[in-house]
Amino acid sequence: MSSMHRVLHMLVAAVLWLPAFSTAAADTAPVRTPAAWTDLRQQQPITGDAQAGLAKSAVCAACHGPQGLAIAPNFPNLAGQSATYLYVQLKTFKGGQRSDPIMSGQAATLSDADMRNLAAYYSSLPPKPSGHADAVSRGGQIFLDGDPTRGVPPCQGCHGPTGQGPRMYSSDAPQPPWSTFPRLHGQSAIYVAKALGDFSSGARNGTSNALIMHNVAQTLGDADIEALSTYIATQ
Amino acid sequence: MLKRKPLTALLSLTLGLVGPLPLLAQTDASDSQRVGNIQYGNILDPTGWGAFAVPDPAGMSYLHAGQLRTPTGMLYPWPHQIPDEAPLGTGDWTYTGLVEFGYIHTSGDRNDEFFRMYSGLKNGAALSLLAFSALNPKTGQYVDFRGSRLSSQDQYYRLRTGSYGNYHIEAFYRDIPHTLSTTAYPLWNGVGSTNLTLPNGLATGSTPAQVQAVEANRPRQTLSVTRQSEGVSWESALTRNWIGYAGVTSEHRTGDRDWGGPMYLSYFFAAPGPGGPGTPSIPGTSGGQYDTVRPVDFTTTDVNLGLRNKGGAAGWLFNFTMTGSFFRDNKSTLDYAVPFAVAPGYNSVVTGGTWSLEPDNNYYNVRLEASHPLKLWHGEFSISAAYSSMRQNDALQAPLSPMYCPSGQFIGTTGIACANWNTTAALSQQDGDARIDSGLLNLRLDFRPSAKFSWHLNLRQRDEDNMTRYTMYNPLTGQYGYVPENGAESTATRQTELFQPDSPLYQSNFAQIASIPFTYDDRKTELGGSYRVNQNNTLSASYLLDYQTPRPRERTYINDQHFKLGWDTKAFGDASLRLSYEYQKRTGGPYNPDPYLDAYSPSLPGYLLPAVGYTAFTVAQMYMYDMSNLDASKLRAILTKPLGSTATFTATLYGNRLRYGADIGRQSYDTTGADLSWDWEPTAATSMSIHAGIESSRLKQGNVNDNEALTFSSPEQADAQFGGPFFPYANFWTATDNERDVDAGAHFRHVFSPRVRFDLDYDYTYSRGLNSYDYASLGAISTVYLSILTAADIGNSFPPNVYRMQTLTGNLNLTLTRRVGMRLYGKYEFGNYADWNYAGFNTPADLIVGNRVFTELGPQPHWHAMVVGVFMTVKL
Amino acid sequence: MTRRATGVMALSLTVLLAVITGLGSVLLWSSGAQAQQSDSASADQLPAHQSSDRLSESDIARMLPSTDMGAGASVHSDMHAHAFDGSPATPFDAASIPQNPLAPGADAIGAKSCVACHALEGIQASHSLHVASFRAGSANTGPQAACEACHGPGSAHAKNPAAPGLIIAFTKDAKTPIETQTATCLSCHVGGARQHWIGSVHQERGLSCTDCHNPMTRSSAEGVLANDSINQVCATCHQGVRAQFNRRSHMPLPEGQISCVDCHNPHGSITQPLLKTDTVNETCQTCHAEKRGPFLFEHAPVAESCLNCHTPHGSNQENLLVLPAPMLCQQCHTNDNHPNDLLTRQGLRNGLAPDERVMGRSCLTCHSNIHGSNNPNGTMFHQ
Repeated sequence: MSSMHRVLHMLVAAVLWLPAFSTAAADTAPVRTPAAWTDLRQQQPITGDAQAGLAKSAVCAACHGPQGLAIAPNFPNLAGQSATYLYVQLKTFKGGQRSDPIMSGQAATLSDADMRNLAAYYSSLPPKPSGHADAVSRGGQIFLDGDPTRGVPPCQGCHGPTGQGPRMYSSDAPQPPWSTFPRLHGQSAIYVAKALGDFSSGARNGTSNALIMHNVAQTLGDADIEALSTYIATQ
Repeated sequence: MLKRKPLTALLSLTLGLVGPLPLLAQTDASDSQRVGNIQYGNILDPTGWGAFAVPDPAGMSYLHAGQLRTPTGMLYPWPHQIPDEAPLGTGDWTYTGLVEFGYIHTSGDRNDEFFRMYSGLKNGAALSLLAFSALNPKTGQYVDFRGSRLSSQDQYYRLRTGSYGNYHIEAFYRDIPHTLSTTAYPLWNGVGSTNLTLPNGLATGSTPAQVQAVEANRPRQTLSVTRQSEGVSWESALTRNWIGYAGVTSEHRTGDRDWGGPMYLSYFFAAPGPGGPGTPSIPGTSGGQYDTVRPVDFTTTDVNLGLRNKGGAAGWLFNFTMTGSFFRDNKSTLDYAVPFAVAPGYNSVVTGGTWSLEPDNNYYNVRLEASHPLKLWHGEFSISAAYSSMRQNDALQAPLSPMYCPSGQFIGTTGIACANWNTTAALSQQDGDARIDSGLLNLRLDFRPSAKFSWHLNLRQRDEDNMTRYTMYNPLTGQYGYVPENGAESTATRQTELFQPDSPLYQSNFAQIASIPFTYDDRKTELGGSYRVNQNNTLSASYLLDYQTPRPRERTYINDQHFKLGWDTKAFGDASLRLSYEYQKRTGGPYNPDPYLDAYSPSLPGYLLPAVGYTAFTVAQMYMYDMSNLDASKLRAILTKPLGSTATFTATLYGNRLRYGADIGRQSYDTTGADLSWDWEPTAATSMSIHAGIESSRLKQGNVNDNEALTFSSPEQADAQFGGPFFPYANFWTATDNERDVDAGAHFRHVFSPRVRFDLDYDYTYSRGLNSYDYASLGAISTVYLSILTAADIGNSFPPNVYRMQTLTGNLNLTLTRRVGMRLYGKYEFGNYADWNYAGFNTPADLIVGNRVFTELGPQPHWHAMVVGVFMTVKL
Repeated sequence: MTRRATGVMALSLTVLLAVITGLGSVLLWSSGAQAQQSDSASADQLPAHQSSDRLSESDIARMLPSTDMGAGASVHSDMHAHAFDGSPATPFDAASIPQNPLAPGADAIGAKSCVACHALEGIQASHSLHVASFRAGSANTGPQAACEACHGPGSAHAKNPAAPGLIIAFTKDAKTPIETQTATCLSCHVGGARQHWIGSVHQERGLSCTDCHNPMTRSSAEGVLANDSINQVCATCHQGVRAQFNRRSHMPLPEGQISCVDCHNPHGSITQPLLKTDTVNETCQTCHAEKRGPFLFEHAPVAESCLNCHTPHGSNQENLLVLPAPMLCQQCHTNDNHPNDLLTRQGLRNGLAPDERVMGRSCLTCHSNIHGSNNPNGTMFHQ
């Protein structure tokens, strides 16, 4: 019995020392660590104060335009974009999961509330009016139907048939974080092509969403990207 | 007959067949057709896969958080981390491997029977897991090995190899321990052999005090059986639609287990103690009961062959299987010497007894299943036919052992010569020649006239033919019947179980003179259907008539009707509820309390009915519970309720009410139970579950003591009626078994950091059984005790039976480097136990009670035991 | 009555013999049969040399849409030019794509399109036995179904992934009827252990294959299960049975030495309750072969069903008995003399009148051969 008690004490001691062990262990040699990406799967739709965002938006307007419509095609339009998407982008610029020579610096100074407010503000602006995209163009086919022979899934699945965001249905099952998926319609061809290129090359791979887009973009050739960019720009 | 080499022969046959076969087309290794050896694990890791059960924080999908649920609503566990793969050689092969080995230390009451029941934990080095998998992802060829060794009695090794969709070969070796008693103090020498001899200083005719003195110093022994088995099997697609299967397993079971040895009843000879009624009696020093130890030394070889078709032959699915099982008992007798004389003064005769242990046997089964879709109502027709045969033809043993009833001696004062019974010349046949064949035919029609409605009709007929016939006739004496209990009964009472026509001594003896070839035929007719009322509700109903014709039994036929209703609903939010109710009603032909007369001496010519008739076999109003009328209701509900996206609540409620149409025999059997559980897995790093269940059951039976004063002395002894002179109402008694069970547990898993995982489990199990009794008058107890016991002494129950066990199990896994880790295992188990059968057996000396020798003290009343293991985990 | 018994047995034997003798010819016949799932559009292009039953790559080329199924890169660039000759293919290549009744117009799009979004699912599943098999199939050949062999054609789902029912799904909230789910699995896993699925209790109570199995991960050592072990899977519903295994005497299930599926076939059986053999006794006697006999002297309830005295999973009595002896035996043995006495607590070792019918193994001390005796003196099972 006494030996059993001794062992019992040892076990209890081992359990009590456990937290110490865990920190000590974490400091040494490399082991399998969780993937270095931001998990957006539990991201809930965000809220923010659009008025406060407006107050902070002066710097942004320099590139993204006073009404959230970019002044040049290498910048994305922000007007009418999903607030949560915008928030996540700012957050990942700040956190380093996404990097951009301009935006990384811009986001670095923003507080979480600033990011929410800016996102809320831009999402409240009227989006660029719809265009007349050519559904039978190569880009239209990829956007609407994908290309099974190449393994390209249709973009509309997540970005909506008109690029104005995904279609949602009520369900008790776990759902994708729909609010983090961007609305694509009307973005300039140059910007879309750059984004797809960044996803494809892995330059933009810091979130769970980016990991999906990495796979998707890799199925696309240069001609596909060009066709798709054109289609999206005219949506 | 295949004696010792069946495995080798069949193995080479199988491999010979397998070798040249073209290996192509689809197989699947679903073994759920073979009985046994599906699961490989042990007490340290019951799943056999625990070392891989590391949840992957990446989850299952980039698209959504958490885990999906099964259609019923349980959460799928987080996927396990994929083991690192490494190339094997220069080709396409990759492999993963893991070895976990270390040291196990047990302390506390490590010899407790319950602690050791099915685990061979020993202090020393142990291999808790060796797993190796290799795969060629281009060809689909794979090799998969798992092994574990806790000790030489508790180990398994299993190798699977094959090619996906083509063929599959499996080989295994395993040892499973089963500890039966750790508190055995056998009086005899030679435990484990077929001959139990008395220790020095004892001979037949010893007094209880002498035997007790020897028994007090006998060494403790552990009685256990180890099941060592090995096997190899092969499954392969012979062509695109035909799949063949062949397997051989061989099991060798060795050890000892408790057994008996009757030398006639002793309680008959108990006498009141000097203090009179209500004080300890003087145990009888005649007769004798011996709790002996038998050897277990079995070899069983099973051969399975199968051939099936996936539907290429005009839509027929065929499944054809052949099974042969060859059991060999390497120690098929047991002789034991006895220390007590059966009756004072006759100590020279009947100095021991003999047992026939199980004979060698062969079993064959051929089965064909075929089904075909029908155009009508999307139907399916299926037919199954099977034929099986159990055979046994062992050489029979002489009725009495020449060692313990030597030629030249006579049994007591009966004049029965040992020489006439201690040789196989005393037998009517030399071999068992026993055989039971059975045939089965099952026809089934399933229809689905609409997407909402389906129904089926099933007819099943199974008939037996028991060809075993043995007549107990001794050609040496011309007598029928036998000399019971190694001659002890005749020594003690001068009674025999012999019948001989024209013999004044035996012509009126009521004796069994032949075996009874029990046979059961069974026809089941079932009609059932289900209707999907709407998206969320399905109702089902079925009616089954089970018509049985057992022979020779108390009823010539039985109609067992089952009416079942089922309701499966998802109407309550996201919960799933499955509810079922069954009503069973069993009736049958007239009940004949003694249908066995054909096997008894009155059926023979020359039987002379004695003046007082023969003693009623049993009371006429007794209904055996497998034959009696029965009204039963069974209700069961299973609820699965998702709680949010990370938790699940399940509840089960069940109740059975069985009413047997009997006052004497089993009267009723009720069971009520409920189980609740809550499972929570908020993240990959944490999961928790708690469960608790309770069950109570109550079984009531009735019985009636015969009026022993009338036996052999009054014609009233032949009156089998309850309430008559021989089975008076006053002698009626009932017994009730009330059992209550609680089972609960809490389980916690957490990953503190990628390096530190901790599991903690607490499990609790408790049962309390109370055997109570009630009686009309003291006539219910043996007349022997009327002068010893009073109603106050008897009371109304046995002491309660209790079994309580609590275990606390902890596992700490530490990752040291990418390849090397450590596992600390600790388990603390404690419990208490009481079983009135073994009450009062506290020391070896207690095992001698009058002319009785017991062997086991029974499990420890309290135990505490601890297992600690330190293991190194290396990923290969 | 014996005549009828012989009749049924003769009939079952006849059926068996007829089929065994027919088996050879059926074998030959089936070898001439062609793939069931041939694409109607190109069925007429069956090459003349296709007399063997082996599936060839050209068979598959006809059977599946010419989309990239995430298959071997070697044939990626020029699928139809040279990849599909008459060389043997693996059976998984032949898996057909099931119809999804809720998306009748959908087309197959190929595994590569699926894993573009379902990237992590693709990784996890590729390490499960099920999908690893498909991948092995696709290593040598071109088009192959993988995801869609189970989930049905994916084009409608890809365009509108959240819309219910557009893909054959196997989880809670799936709009796919359970019958479609199980039929999908059974289209490959046909027959064998699942021969009696239709009409089995688990089928009738609306269970899907994925209530017990999860082919998308490797969670278990055996059986592609939805939990760590067979026993855990069964216990999710059969909790009361799980608790019985913790009782004083039990089958070695908590110790990991045996599983529910050692005795039961959860996929259906002609013997209740889902037993693998024709009777309860044949199941028990697979391991307890010594109790098979037949013995010279049989004990009627033993020969009838082990369950007359034993409860199969766990019991509060020793040796899985339903009741303690002597009460167990006294349910039937009301015979005169010593069996029908009321036995009381005073018959215990420390009672006033210790009685061999109460102490220790009770009745079994003398009637030890209770499962049957082969001794010529063994009619009472005490020799």
